[in-house]
Amino acid sequence: MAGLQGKVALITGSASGMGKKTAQRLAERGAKIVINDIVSEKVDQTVQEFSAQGFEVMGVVADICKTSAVQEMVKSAVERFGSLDILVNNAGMERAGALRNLSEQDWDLTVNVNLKGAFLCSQAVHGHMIEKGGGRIVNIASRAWLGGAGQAPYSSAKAGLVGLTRTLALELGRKGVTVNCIAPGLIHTPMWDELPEKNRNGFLAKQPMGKIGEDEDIANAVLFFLDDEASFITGQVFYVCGGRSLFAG
Amino acid sequence: MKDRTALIVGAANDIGGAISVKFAGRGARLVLIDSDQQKLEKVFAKVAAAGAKAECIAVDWANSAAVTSAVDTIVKKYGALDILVNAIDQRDGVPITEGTVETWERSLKENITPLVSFSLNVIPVMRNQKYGRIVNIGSLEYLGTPKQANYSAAKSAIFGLTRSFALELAKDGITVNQILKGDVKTAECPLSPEEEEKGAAQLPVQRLGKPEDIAYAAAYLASGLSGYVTGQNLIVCGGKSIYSSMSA
Ligand SMILES: NC(=O)c1ccc[n+]([C@@H]2O[C@H](COP(=O)([O-])OP(=O)(O)OC[C@H]3O[C@@H](n4cnc5c(N)ncnc54)[C@H](O)[C@@H]3O)[C@@H](O)[C@H]2O)c1
Repeated sequence: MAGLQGKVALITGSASGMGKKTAQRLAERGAKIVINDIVSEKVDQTVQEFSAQGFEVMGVVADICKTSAVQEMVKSAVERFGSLDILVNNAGMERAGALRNLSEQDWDLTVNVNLKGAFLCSQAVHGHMIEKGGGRIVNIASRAWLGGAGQAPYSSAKAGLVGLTRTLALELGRKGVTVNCIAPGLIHTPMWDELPEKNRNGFLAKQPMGKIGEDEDIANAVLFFLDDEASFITGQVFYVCGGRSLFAG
Repeated sequence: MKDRTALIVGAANDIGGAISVKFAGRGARLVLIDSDQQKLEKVFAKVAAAGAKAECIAVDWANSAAVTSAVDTIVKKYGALDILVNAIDQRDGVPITEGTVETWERSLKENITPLVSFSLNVIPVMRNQKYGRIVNIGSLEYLGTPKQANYSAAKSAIFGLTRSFALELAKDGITVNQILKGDVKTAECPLSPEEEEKGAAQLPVQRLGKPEDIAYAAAYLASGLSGYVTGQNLIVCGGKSIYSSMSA
C-alpha cells in the first residue's frame, strides 16, 4: 500500500471503533488527520493519543447532522492543513426495534446521522477535492442495507448511503474524485464482549466463517480504496462481512 | 504476500501479466502458467528482469491430467501454495447467427474448465495449510453483451463458482473472490484512438481501464489484508456498473 504522505483526511465519528482504527492506519502512512466526533472527551483523548505518536492531527467536535457545524469543521480543517483529500463518512448509530415500536425520533436520528451527515460532509468537502484535481470519499454503510428485521431506520439509511455513493461517483468521476462504499458485517466492538455467550453463539452461527471481523479488517478495506492506484474503482459497494452477504437467513 | 507462493493462471495475457508484475513487486514467489508458451515466456522475462522469484510452466489446461501434474510438481517443489489467480479470459465475438453448440462448448472449455480444474487441484493443498486466497477474474460483460453471449455466460458461471467455493471453504481460512473488470484496454482487445476516446467518454471516470488497475485490486484480495472478505465481487470499471442493476 503506497504512502499517504501529505494527504489530509477527515474521518467522521473517529474517536472510537473502526473510525479510530482507520485514522490510526492513515496517520501511520503519513496522512494529516482530522478527528471528528460528537463526544468531546473522546475527541480530546484521541487527539492526545495521536499527538503522542507524533502524528499531525486536529480534533473537531461537531454534529455531522448540522450544516453549519459541518461547514465550520471543514473550514477549520482547510485553514489548518491547507486542503482536504480524503473523506471517510464513518459516523453512525442505530435505533432499532419492530416497526410498531419505532418513534419518529428514532427514524429521524438514525437517518440523519447515517445518511444526511454523509451528504452534508461530502457537500462541504468535494469542492476542495476538485480544486486539487482529485480526492477519495469512502462511506461506511452496512451489510444491513440489504434489509434486517427490526432495523427499518438503519437499513433504510444505509441503503440511502449506497444510492448517495453511486450518485456522487457519477457526479464526481470526471473530477478525479472516487466515491465508494464499504458494507461491514458483524465487527468486534466493546458491546460484543458484553453480550451473553448464548447471544454471541446465535450470531456466530450465521457467520459463514464462524467468526466476526475486527476494526482492522475495515481499516484495510478503507486504505484499499484510498490509494492513488484505486483511481479506476468508483461507485462500488464492497462487503467486508466474512461471506455473510451470501447467506440467506 | 511476501514469500507466499502464487499461481497465476493465464499469466500470458495482458491482465495476467500485470498481476504477475504487481505480485512480484510485493515479494510473492510466482509460478506463471499459460497454455501459450511463447507469450508466457515473454511475460516471464519481464517479471524475472524485475528481480522476482519466479518460474513459468506452459500447461495444456484443457487436459485435466496436465493440470493435476503441474500443481503436484509445484507443491512438491515449494511445499506450499497460497494464492491462485484465475486470469484466463477469452472473448469469442460469435453472433447468434454464427453460433453453434460447438462455439458454446468451446467458450466454456476455454474460460471455465481451467478455472475449475486448477481450483479443484489447489483447494486440498490450501485446506491442509488452513490458508488460501483464490481470485477469479470476471467481467462486467457478464451482464450481457451483443455478440458475446458465450463469453458473457461463461463469465456468469464465475459467480456461482466463486460464491459456492467461498461458502464451502469459509471455515478453512480460504477466501474466494471475484474481480469484475470493466472496459480495460489490453493487447487482446485492441482499440483505435477513436474507439478509445468514445469508450472513455462513456465512463464516469472518463478513461478506460489499464491492466494495472485490475492488478492493484487482485493484490489486495490475494493479500493477508483481506481475510474477512469472501465470496465478493469487486467491480473495477471506472463506475460503469452504476448504470446497471445487479451491480451492488
Ligand atoms: N460495529 C459493527 O458491527 C458495524 C457493522 C456494520 C456497519 N457499521 C458501521 O460502521 C461505522 C462505525 O461503527 P463502529 O462500530 O466503529 O461504531 P462506534 O459507535 O464505535 O463509532 C461511531 C462513532 O460515531 C460517533 N457519532 C455518532 N453520531 C455522531 C454525529 N452526529 N456526529 C459525529 N459523530 C457521531 C459516535 O460518537 C462514535 O464515536 C458506523 O457507521 C456503523 O453504522 C458497524
